[in-house]
Amino acid sequence: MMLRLKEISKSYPAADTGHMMQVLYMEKLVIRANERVALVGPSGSGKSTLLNIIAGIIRPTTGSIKLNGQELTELSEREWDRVRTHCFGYVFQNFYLLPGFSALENVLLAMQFAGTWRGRERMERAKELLHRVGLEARLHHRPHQLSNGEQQRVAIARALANEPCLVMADEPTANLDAANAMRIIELLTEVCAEHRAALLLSTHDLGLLRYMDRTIHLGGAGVASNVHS
Amino acid sequence: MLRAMSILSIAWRNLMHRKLQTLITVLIISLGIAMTLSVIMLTNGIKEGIAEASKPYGMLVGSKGSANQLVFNTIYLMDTPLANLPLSYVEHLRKDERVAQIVPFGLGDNYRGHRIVGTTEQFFELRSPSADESYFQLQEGRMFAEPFEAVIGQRAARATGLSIGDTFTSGHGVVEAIEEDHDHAAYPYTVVGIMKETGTPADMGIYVPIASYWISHQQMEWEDDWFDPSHAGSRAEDEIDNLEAEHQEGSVDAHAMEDGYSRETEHEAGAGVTALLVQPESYMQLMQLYAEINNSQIAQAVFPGQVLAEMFDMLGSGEQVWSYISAMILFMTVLTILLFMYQSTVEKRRHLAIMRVIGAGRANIFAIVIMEAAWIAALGAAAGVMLSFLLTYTTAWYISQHSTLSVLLTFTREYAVLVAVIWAVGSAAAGLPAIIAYRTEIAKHLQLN
Repeated sequence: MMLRLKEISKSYPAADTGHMMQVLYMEKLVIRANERVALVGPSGSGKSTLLNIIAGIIRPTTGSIKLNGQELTELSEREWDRVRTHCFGYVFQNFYLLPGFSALENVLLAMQFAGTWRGRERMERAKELLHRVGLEARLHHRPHQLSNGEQQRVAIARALANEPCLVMADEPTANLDAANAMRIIELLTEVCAEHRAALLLSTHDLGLLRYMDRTIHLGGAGVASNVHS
Repeated sequence: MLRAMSILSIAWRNLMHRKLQTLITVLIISLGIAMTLSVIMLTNGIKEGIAEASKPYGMLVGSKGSANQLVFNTIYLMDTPLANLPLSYVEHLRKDERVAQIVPFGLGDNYRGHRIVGTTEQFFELRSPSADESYFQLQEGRMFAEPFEAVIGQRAARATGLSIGDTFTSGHGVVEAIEEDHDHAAYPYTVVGIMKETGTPADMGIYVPIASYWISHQQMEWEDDWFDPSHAGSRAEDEIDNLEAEHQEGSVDAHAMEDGYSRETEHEAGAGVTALLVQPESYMQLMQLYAEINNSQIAQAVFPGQVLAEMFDMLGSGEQVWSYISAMILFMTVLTILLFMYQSTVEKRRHLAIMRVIGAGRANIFAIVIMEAAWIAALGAAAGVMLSFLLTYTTAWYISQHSTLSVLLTFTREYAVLVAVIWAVGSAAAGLPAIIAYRTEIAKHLQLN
């Protein structure tokens, strides 16, 4: 797997003046298979925006994103949906679990929509993933019956459901206490390694960087980018 | 559980996440559908019941007066009888070569509100068109053979508790008397047979030899050959001419014509019959007799089917009002679904956005919303159908308990089609909310901008 970003920018019209305001500019970023990359930077530096652009949730204003040589910015919405579903896994800061569905169903739904696996295999895989994140006893609990840490575990299991080549996590520990945050980040790096998935996460917590291979510092106002290995 | 999580099951889970709102919406829809279906089923059922009851009857002949009254009194055992036809007129028709069969009816007495119908054995030979078997058959016991023997309808038997061998005394008039009728007390009836249930007003009747009427009303002596009109008053053909003349001069008992049955009328007119079922040899003769009888000054001839058709025509405008009301209810049902789905979609756009971000396509989201409406419409329709059956059968039972009318309920293909249309329109009502859902932007609703 190779994800290559080039001269990616995102601008929005300013609420007061209506003038276009750039919130992100990244000259170049390359992520390879099994890599663990952290995005750090102050609030508003464009970390989440970058993740959402890669996931196809928002479109970049300019630039190129290539996944294994395929230009994603030229894809239709449906095609990018498909790439997001099959190639990327996304763990949100707010978990974004479906409230009417159990932990097991939340994981199953991701596979259902992607059309991956079938019948019993799908069920077995969902249970296996939840078992891997330590929720084998919470399969049938709904999100409101789970702690924040448990919800984040379900979100991780869901992100891995379709065997993605890249897992993105937006501030995955922001809503967790320190002990839970550590456990979650360990889990995330471990399961990504097990599934041979690259990991790209954004965080404010510099303590997490020791688990990463590379750190990318996004400058203030998202205008500049600095890359450190 | 999740063995095959399809769009249908996702839609179901979404609904179950809002149980109370879903339940209330389903309840409103089911009430609308139940009211509509009940009105249609009852209207058709009453019509069918009325039409079914008239099947074995051909041309009815009675005194001049209301055709509706003649039909309703004779066939449906409702309303008051018209004035009696004199037996000389019956004799006149019997002697007519064109007449194949005459079945007399005498009405005017009751037992605990159940009409006592004086007739002959020929009544039990009547057939509905194209039927091989007699329409009215015995379930137990035997046919009456002598005056004051009675064969009772199934529902009359159940309601009165009468069984074979029991005796009872009739009361004068068509409704149950508060005080005992001492005149009739001297002439008790004995139950000798119970009829099979026909689902018609006949089930509520008590059938006795017509001579019982004449004897109990002191219009004739007990005789062995008890239905021979010539015994009751041997009027000759020329007497018919006299009767015609009397009617033309206006000396006919106007009281009897206006008030229908009355004891005084009977005594003055002598023994008579309330109505006659006249069956000619051929259709041509039927039409001839129909014209002749109606041209006479004494009697009228009516075809029950024709009278009922006119009555249904009159009721038609009322039915139309009901159909408008039903259409309005259905429209409100569709609006209810639209409102529920719109509110539900707006409320859960965030959830829809989550589904989108984990892989659901816009088409999936559209289909999920439509399926939610389909579920609601289907549940509403199912509950509505069940409720309509409950309402309809309860109302039909009430009608049968409080009148001689039978409601013939059938669930035809048209009802199934109607329910399917309601379901389809109800599901389609989610079109607008589904489009809103379809246009859900992930970034906007998950605040990922």
